Amino acid sequence: MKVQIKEFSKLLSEVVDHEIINLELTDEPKDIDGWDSLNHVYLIIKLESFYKIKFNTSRIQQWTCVGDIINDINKIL
Amino acid sequence: MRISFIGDNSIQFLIKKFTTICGECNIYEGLYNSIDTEILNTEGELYAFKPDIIVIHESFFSYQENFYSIQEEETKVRFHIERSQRIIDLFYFAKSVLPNVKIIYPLLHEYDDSIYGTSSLKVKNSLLYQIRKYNNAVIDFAFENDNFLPIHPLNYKDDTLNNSNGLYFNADLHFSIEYIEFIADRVHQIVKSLQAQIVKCIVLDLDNTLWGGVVGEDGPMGVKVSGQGEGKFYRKFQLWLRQLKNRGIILAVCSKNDEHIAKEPFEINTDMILKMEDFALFIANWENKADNITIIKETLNLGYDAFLFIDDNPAEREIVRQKLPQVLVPELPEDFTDSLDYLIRMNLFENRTISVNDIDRTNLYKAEFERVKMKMKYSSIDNYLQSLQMIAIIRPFDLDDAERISQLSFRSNQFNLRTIRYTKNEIINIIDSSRYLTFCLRLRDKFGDHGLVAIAIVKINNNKEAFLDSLLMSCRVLKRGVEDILMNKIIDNLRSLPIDLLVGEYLPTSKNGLVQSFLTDHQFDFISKLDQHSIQIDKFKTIKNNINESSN
Repeated sequence: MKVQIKEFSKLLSEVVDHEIINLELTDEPKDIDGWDSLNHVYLIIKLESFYKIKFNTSRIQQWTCVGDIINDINKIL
Repeated sequence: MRISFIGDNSIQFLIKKFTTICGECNIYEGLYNSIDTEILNTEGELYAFKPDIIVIHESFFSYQENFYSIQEEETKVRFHIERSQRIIDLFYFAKSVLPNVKIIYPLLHEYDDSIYGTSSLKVKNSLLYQIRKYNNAVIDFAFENDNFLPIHPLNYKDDTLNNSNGLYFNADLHFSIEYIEFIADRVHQIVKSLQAQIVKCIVLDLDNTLWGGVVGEDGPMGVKVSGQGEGKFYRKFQLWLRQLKNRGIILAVCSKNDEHIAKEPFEINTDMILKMEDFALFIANWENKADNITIIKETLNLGYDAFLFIDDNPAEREIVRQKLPQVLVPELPEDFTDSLDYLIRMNLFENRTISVNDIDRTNLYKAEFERVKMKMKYSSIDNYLQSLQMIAIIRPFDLDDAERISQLSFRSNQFNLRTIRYTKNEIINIIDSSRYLTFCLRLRDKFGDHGLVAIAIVKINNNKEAFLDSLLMSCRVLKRGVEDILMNKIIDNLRSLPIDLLVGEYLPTSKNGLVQSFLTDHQFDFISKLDQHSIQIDKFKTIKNNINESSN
């Protein structure tokens, strides 16, 4: 199973509480309205429970963009 | 209600949850990890906000960290005494500034670190033993102080307090979101109970309120208080009122009737649940009901806000509401037999011993506080900061630190004068350049080493003038005077060059309001033309602070 950006975009939209259109793999938190450090934590919690995974502590720090997160999820799944 | 949240972990999550369930509350979010400094700083924002309630959310992880920082085993045994005395001291300190403030304090989660295997409760210097003794000391204290309200985490079902170490280490999220929701809900329950108007006396109408029908027409035996239908409701209503009376709520009658007619059902109708002796006052006349309530109030010597008025007649309710706005007059359902459920749902009879008692006790508290203050360790913020035994090491940037300095510049949002982000390479370039003076500050105190927590970058413009390109600090060490010792150091360095003028600039962002007045607070004068500030180096007075500088 490969996670698609579309599904990720939907989850992120729920966290930041508005619909994100045309999310790109290269988008960073600063590009998305409402994706602040607090919501970043909610996003991690959401992704972990949605995909029933657990991210590696040191990997989380290395994410810079949407693509990094999706790559990590796919590696774990 | 005005509520302050302070904590030693990421309390934003607790606040966010709390605001979704308690819309009408005004909230102050304390600075990150500064429980002691917020409470001990009488000039600070916590007291300026004038909270009714302060929620102190501490994490057992922090307790553990402090516990682990102790080397001597004998000190470990006494750790819970020192820590519980600290919370008690903080409570009295807050009380000395805001006499009626209430403190809500979730107890620490009991946690066994397995150092002593299964013998943790047989070893006095085990973490579990120290947490349990601590909680007990806090509970004992709460028994004596109505305004100190502990929350126990025992009803929380889930064992997984913390569902992700990744979030703990990365975001300082000590608890699972579910646990935070549990605490938020508990806090909300307490807030609701504090907000409730405390009813001490119920003033009741008679006809079609305590019984069905009109006693003047139907006679004392004809009023409906039993049997099926309408009578069944009035019987149930009277039973409920009798329970309240037994609990200590005062009942009074206020009816438009001739007194002897009004009393008859109580005296001769054996179906009546309530009897004459159940009423503290019985007023039946043809006067205005608002005036009669005033008589009851004067007699009982209570405030108007201790009264609940129940009458089936909307016109009577309206008169009382208009004349005595403090009296609680519920707008009852049109069908009066729905009123009992309605009143029960209103939850009007909270049993928390606050308000009247507390006001009486205020002076007692004050005296008690004076006594406690004598033996208190921290009677002021300075004493507290001194007790931390802080040591700072301030050095120019080192290549080895470039990574950490860059990270700090990206992560610090609150205490950051210009919010310039530097990559590692930019930091390396700055180190190599002769045009910059750089400062990085490491801090340690009696509880441990905080590492590199603050940096400053000063750009030398020419042989007279320098510019404060960056000054930022990690929010772990706010309000300890770190910025003061750093400013002293910067000025000392500039003075030795010598440079005459240091120019500073504040660039506002959505998050750095904290340093809005940093420049004016640190002796910078405003230069109107450039919207910048500057210091004449020779006029700068060294700022007193409680940190000792060391070279290693």
